[in-house]
Amino acid sequence: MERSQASSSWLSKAVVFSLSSAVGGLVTGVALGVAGSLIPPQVRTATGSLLAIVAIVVGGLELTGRHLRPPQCDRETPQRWVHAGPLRWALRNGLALGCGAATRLGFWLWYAIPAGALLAGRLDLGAAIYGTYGAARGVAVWGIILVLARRADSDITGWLVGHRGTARIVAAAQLVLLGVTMAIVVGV
Amino acid sequence: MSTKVRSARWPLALWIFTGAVLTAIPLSLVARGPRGMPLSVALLLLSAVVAAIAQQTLP
Repeated sequence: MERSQASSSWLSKAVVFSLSSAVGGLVTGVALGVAGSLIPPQVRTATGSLLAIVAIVVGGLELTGRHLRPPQCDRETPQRWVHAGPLRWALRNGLALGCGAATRLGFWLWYAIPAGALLAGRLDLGAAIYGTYGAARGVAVWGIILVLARRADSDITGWLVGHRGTARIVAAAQLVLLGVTMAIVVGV
Repeated sequence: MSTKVRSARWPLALWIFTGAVLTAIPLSLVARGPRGMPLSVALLLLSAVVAAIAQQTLP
């Protein structure tokens, strides 16, 4: 009975976290898309060209093992949110991580999301780009829950942290691919 | 030690970079067509997913 209640509590938190993370990303994307629509297209294109080159250079450096620390707040969500209750904690945590800007970013690739949402200059594209990020960040928790459901004794957090190097290479490769494509599309 | 790690990363980095360039050029040319989602947007969506998954490895 207690185990069932605990499981139900976890599921409720996970659902609220996932939904609020998606909403956090969506709302941020809408705001950036609207803000981007106020920027003249020529300025957006020029900025996109510049950022494409930056993406190629930074991604290339990361791929060759030169780790550049991205500017970030580098902090977790406030611990005091835990005292607000499990569902409120999940809600606030989801919103904060779905937006991401005020949390630990870790990877340069993250900057492609707000930049892309802003420079797209359209509400729907901004919402799609940032909403995808928020949804993906919220859904990731279900992967962890599934692993823990199969093997409660597994150290999933340790396994994830241990694969940060692989994640860095994949993120850097994606950044280079994105930069090259953007450079071609906007016509550097 | 760090030199060994760095030299071991070079082939992988070169392979990924070459693959990225070779993939991006033809696909971006195709994506300039009037139909379908622009490749740039599709790649931004993919980047969003990759970034979200990569961030799961942060402590």
